[in-house]
Amino acid sequence: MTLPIPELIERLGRYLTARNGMPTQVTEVVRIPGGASRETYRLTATQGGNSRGMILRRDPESSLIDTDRATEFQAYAAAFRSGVIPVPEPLVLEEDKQHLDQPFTLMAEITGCQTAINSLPESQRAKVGEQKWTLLGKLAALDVEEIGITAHMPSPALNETWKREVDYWAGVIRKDALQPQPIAEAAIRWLERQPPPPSPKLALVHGDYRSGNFLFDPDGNIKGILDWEMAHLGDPLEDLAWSLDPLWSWPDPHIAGKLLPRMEAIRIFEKASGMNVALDVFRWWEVFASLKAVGIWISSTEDFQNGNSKEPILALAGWLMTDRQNRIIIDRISPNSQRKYTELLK
Amino acid sequence: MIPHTQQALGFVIQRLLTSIGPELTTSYAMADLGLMATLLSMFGEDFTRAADARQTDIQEMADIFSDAQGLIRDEEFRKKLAATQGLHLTNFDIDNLDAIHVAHSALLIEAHARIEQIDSRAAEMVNREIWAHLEKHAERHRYEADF
Repeated sequence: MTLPIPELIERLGRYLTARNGMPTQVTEVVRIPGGASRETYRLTATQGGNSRGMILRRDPESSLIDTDRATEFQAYAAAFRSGVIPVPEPLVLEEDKQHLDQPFTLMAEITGCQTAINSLPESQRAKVGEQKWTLLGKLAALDVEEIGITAHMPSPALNETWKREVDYWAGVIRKDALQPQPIAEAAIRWLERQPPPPSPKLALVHGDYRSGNFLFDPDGNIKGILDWEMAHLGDPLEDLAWSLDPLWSWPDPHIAGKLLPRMEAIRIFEKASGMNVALDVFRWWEVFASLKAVGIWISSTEDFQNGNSKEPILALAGWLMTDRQNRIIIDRISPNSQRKYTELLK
Repeated sequence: MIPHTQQALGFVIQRLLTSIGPELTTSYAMADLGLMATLLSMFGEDFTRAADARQTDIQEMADIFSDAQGLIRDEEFRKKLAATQGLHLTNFDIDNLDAIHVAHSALLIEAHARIEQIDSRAAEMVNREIWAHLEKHAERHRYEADF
């Protein structure tokens, strides 16, 4: 259950005071809309006359994405340590429910930024896009041992990265679907029939790298990559395919994430990562991205309709995005495809 | 009976956004209200087409099962496909249509997987028929919500 703001202020202040060993006041707590996977709040913590803006992410009873907050926190920490990927500084991971009734994390606030691409002037979109896919290329190029993330996440074999993901999301769809899903099932069979070659390397995969999940300032500079709750070790093309899914530029399939032409985004990624993207292999990851998205939307529908959560974003995402993503899948793999919603990359 | 349900819902949405929305004091509550207004518009879309879309889906799937029967060697599964033939819908209650739709869709998944395994011109034709149905199904149930 969501805590009333005054109670949240009192209990979090008590927690930080005990943790820091000196009186800490929590003020200016505001819930931020849009956090479908965690309850997200902006707040100020003041200690010994010093104030610091923080972001509190508290686990809900049910969420859009069922993930472990410790994994998410370690992904933030690894990205922060890399010094290459801008992320908010991770400050606290608390898994004991006694403090706020649910596990939570605290991060440093990045101020003066926003996430809404629709509010970005056309003149700045190419600039933001250049940074977005450059950063993704740099993330793909990171050595996962060097950034210390392999101790916190399973490391699949290079020829198993695809299978682990397909098995996981097929399992989610079959467990959570409230009605049969002939389109998703056809996609699962398609993916299993023609697996991709082994991954060229193991990368830290963000898992939800898309417009809306990064902060940019008024000059169009990306200041923080957010929402690492689906981070895992896997194939670097997984993030690239997800970032280019037509859903993030709906209904225009040509402009990736409403920022750049899709082939241009791929070229920027190649330059920053040092990888060559084979388009036939990439196509497999595009289909997978659409399947994974259906898994997320179906799971959110199930949470809403079974009463686990009353957040309207879960219902809206579940129904509206499943509809769109099903049309994208058909467009991608049907032998009758007329390519209405997707672009065949050449 | 509520006449012109989609239009009535439109008025409710308008009231929520123009009268209730401005009274809210937090951006979180305002965002929530916007989401709920969009959901109501989707309910309106679904209400109008619900019976027609479901019965059309059911009929299309029955046609596919008729065409697929001759390609299936498994006697038990062929009987399942045959059992869908000659169904005459008389109860257009949405829950009833949903139950039939779910049963047909589950059968369609199994039929599709089997047809994909058959290497013949006839199987390819049925495969294309299935995909044509899936596309029409998706378009029939699409939402126009701007989100």
